[in-house]
Amino acid sequence: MSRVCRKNPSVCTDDPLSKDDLCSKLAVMRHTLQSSYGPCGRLKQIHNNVGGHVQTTSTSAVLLKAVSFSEPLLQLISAAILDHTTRFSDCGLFTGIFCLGLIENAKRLGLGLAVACRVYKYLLEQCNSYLNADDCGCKVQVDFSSIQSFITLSHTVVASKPACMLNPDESQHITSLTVQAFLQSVPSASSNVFGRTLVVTIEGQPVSSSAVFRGILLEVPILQSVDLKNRNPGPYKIVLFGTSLSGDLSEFGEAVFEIQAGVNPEAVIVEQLLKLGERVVQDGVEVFACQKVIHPVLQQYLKERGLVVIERLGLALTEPVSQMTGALIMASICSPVPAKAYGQIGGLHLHRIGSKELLQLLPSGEAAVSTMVLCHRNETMLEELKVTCQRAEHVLRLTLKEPYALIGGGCTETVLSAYLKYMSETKPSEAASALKCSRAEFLLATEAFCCSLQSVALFLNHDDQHFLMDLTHAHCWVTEEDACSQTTTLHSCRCGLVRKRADLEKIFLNIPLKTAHHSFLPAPITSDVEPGLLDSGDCWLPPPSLGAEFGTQEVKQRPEESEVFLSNTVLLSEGLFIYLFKKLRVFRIFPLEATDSTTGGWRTGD
Amino acid sequence: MRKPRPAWRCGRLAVVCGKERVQRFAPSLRDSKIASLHSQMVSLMGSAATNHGCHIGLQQLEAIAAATHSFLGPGKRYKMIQDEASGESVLVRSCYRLLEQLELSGSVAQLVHETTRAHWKTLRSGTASLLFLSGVWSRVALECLHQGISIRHIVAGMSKGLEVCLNACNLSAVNVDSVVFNANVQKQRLIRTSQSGEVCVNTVNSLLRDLSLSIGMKELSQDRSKTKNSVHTLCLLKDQFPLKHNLKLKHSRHFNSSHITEDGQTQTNVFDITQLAEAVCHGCETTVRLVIEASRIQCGHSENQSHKALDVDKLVTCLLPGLTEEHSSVLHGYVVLLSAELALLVKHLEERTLKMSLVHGDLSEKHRHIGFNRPRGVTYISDCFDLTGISKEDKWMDEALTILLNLKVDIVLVSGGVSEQLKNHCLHHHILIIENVQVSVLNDFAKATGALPVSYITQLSEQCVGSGVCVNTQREYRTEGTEWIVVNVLTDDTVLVTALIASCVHAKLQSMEDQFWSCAYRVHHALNDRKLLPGAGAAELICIHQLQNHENVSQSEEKGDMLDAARGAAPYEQVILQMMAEGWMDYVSTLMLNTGHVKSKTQAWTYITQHIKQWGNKVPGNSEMRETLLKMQNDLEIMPVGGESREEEGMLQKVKIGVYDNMMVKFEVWRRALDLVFLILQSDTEIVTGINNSEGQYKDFVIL
Repeated sequence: MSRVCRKNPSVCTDDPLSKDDLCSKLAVMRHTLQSSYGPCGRLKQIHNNVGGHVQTTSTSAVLLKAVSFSEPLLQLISAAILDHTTRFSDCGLFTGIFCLGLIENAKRLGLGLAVACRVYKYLLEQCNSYLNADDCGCKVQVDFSSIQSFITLSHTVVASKPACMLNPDESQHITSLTVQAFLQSVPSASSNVFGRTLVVTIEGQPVSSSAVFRGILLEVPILQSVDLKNRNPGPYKIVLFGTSLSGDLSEFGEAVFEIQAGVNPEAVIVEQLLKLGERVVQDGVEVFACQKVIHPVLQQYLKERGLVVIERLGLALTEPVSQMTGALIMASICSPVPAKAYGQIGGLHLHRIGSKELLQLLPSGEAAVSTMVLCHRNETMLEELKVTCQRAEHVLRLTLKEPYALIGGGCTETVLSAYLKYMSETKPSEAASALKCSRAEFLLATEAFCCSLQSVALFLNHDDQHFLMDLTHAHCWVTEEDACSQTTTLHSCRCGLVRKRADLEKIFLNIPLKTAHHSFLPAPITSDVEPGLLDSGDCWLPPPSLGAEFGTQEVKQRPEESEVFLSNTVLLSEGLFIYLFKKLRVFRIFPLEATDSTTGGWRTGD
Repeated sequence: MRKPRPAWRCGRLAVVCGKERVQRFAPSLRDSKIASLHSQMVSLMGSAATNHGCHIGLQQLEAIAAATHSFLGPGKRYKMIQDEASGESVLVRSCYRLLEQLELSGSVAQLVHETTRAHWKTLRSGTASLLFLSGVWSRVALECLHQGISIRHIVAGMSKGLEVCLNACNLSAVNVDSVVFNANVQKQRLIRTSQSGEVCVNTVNSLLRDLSLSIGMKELSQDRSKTKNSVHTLCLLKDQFPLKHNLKLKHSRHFNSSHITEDGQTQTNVFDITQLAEAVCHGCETTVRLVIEASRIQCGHSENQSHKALDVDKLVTCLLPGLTEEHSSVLHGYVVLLSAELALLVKHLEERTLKMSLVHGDLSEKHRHIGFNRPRGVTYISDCFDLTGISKEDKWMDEALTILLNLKVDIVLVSGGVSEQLKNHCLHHHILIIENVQVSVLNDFAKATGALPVSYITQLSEQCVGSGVCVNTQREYRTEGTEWIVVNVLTDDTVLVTALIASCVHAKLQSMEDQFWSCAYRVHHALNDRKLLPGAGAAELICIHQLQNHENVSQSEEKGDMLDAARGAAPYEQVILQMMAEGWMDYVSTLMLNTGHVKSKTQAWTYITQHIKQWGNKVPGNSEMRETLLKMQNDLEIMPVGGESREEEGMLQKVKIGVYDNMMVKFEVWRRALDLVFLILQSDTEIVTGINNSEGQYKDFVIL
């Protein structure tokens, strides 16, 4: 008999944001995210305190997946960021920081929730229309005619994660590998299926051993060394199973069996497996692959007949193998394999990288599948490198959908905030009346929005730098206050589009007393100022000539996040979405065990 | 089998290292935890602290590293780790084993452990330097933070420093062939001296050394890495220095054409690793003899000439507790320690060639291959009672035995365990079963005998059985009341070699095994790299010199180029390079202190400074610099601290060969150490997952 527990009533509270406890947690979350932002971001070490593996990361997706939250609001924000990163890979930290900034700024400035929501929504529309406009100053068209823009974009992403611990040569190598992998995954004209890139990681080898291979690479276990010596050259016929061939009864699920004594179910299944093997051998199959385990007896049978046996492909690889070879994934051992289920492999090769032996399956047709082998000295750095490379490749892919990139280094944020401030202050009354709020409220909400945007740019700084904004183009500039060089000469803005001029007036962004300025419309950068920059597509990096002037130190820190246009516009709405969501009623039903305390309880809003 | 890891807390480090270190370590750990939340906690270890110029993570790293200072260099001292709960203790002699034995919480300790483990698993030596350097460099980083240098600049500056060191060492690397050649010439001289009783002409000797080294450099720059016998090298030598040196050479009566031919005889086609092994063994004379012997056996048994001089993949170790250390030896084949009740059986099998089968996994009725899920909810029904009383297990045993007997298998190697009953049955039927064999050994026997490893005994067929195997008893001995036999399993086609490592002190065996692997891998890496670095701290001295020298260079540049000064990073770079040079000083002086050549670090410090001053502004690879290094090596000659008696001649030879380090290993150590420091330097938050806060023990944490 089960215990009888008194069911606790649900507790509802008004306005969750008024709780200090929750606000402090929001502040911790914001601090965690903002300190991870940018190429100089601080790393987070995640572990389980009982001797488990330590993850060192500054990637939002890794961070948030590892951490589980107790507060529904934090869970909601985390889920929204993760959702964003699964769709666009990039800009997770931006989403988080901006979203939390919107919430905190609204609270700090004492805005009514409903008003804040309406104004934020309005401002977001303004942002989107500005970014979508043809004369938008912060977007750059990706140049498909040269590889340089891909390299630049990819380099920006790779260099933005310090936990990868790459030196300049290594990051150059990784950059070119990601571009290579991306280009290999672009389908040829005849087939319109986008290829894929798989990643294999090898710990303990130098980064320079990383490489991109055509086809799929599989690790070969020590006792199953594949002998390819006396094998005729491909193509080979392959059969692919998705079901377990381990000879157990697991395929039947959790059923209850009654078995006649004397009947050995295992022997029966092995017999069935051997029959299957016989058919396959008769059909001239040369490679036998299975997602799960293959019974040793079947393996032995197949190997004796000269087949290459690959077991434990795993879910992640089965699908690509099927796609590459054209083999259908067989789900049953009882029915014979139909002829059309067989696929083809172009060839087999063995590679040895470090202590690992890898079997390469080459595609027979035009299937654009490739494998990136990533090597690094340390497991924790290797993991970060893997995530970063996948992200870089995804970002490159997104450029095919929307061939625009935004200028990086915080310049997009400053330009956008200056634009919004100007637009709002030129006609506050009309907008306010349209939004059914007072003029003051409207201006306050605009202030909160712009402040949140600017602060994202500011969080690129984790050291003793000062951020400035010029009052002509509203681009972001940075200066350092060092012991040795009090006056650092600035050659160009963060994104490299605006060169230093004497007539540029600048204000400090992160010194409160010096931020006051009149609103202005960011002047477009006329093409004759820096004509070569937009065309060559390397506006995220200083042009070569500039780089030489700055020296390597500057170049290294320069590649900031140059967000892909598409993902950035969507993330603006994500930020808003969360804020709106706060208005919904959230109930928290206490679990039956929690009888005593209600302190952890979260009360519903509104 | 491995012993279960005893539960030690970090605080237990008290047993291991000095007390003051622990006190620094433990409280700082507590301070670090600022914040905490429900199922998660977040502790902000850097953010608040960094501003005050101290970084708790780096302090922890420094403290852990400080505990392992005595592991640096060849004169390692043992550490005793005691588990207070069970009273058991373990003897360790390397950083990897030390960290393995400690239960480490905290992310920094965990990262250190992971780094050393990864390093040990792939390279097998240099963990002490790895930890020492990460400690020293974390102190550099801390000092920089203290001076208000931003993390960005520290990372840039220290990367630059490492780059300078790597470049300098690359230039002063020595070719393996020249080391061996050099050693051979020395040997010749020694033999001749002892034979004729003459005093050898010193000039020739030093000249030869110099020349061979410069030949090494030449080859290095051309990046030729083929084995050369010394005749070739000598001809080259003559070609390159035709006039001046030939004159001198003629004066020596030892140095004529007959000498060359003789020398050619000593160096056969197979690369002789003796000299090389002695050059990289770092004072482990007894162990290195095992490695040399292993190489000799492997070379003797390999059919093709292209075989490597030492194949570490074909090496296994067998530990013999209870025998004195002199009994350590190397044997061809797979050697295993078995209980004495099998002695008769082995005797019986010794006379003929045997048939062998290999089983991967356990050999029992219950065993199923990995990935097999046992069915749950199965009931067996029957319409009549089973009166035979034969259990499933018995049935399986009968079947197994029948198969083995039918196939006339004499010996079975099993990677897992074997049921006691089956073992007994097999003993009766004269079938030898050896349990817990490494998978790599199974693999080797599979290749050598043609046997196919199977998972189930029922899979065995005529094709799976290999043949041509012999067994013999090497030794029988008795210790602590149990009798053991040492059995060698052998086939002709294998190059598998077993190193028998014996010691009366049970606890020492592990360290001795580790030492053997270190030695073997050092030789292996040297053969792979084809290049060596001058050892005994010489490479580090070059680094110090370069770092200090680099400073001068950049200063002179600065004067000419004011824009360069405005760059911002350059002034910090000098400070950081200077601090890194001091870190190297610390390294070399600790090395000298550990080997017992100096009485205090100050003395070592003075010594180092004097030597570096002599070099002035020279480039690495400069001949004068190399001479000083050789002289220094002779002064420093790093020898084992143990009081083993050595033959006079052997000692003399040792001194002249010099000490060398593996280049690749050393570079990798440096990179990994710097990686570790950077990872921790750039971290500001420690996030602990999966916390159950029901006991309220994480009150001072922020729980998200």
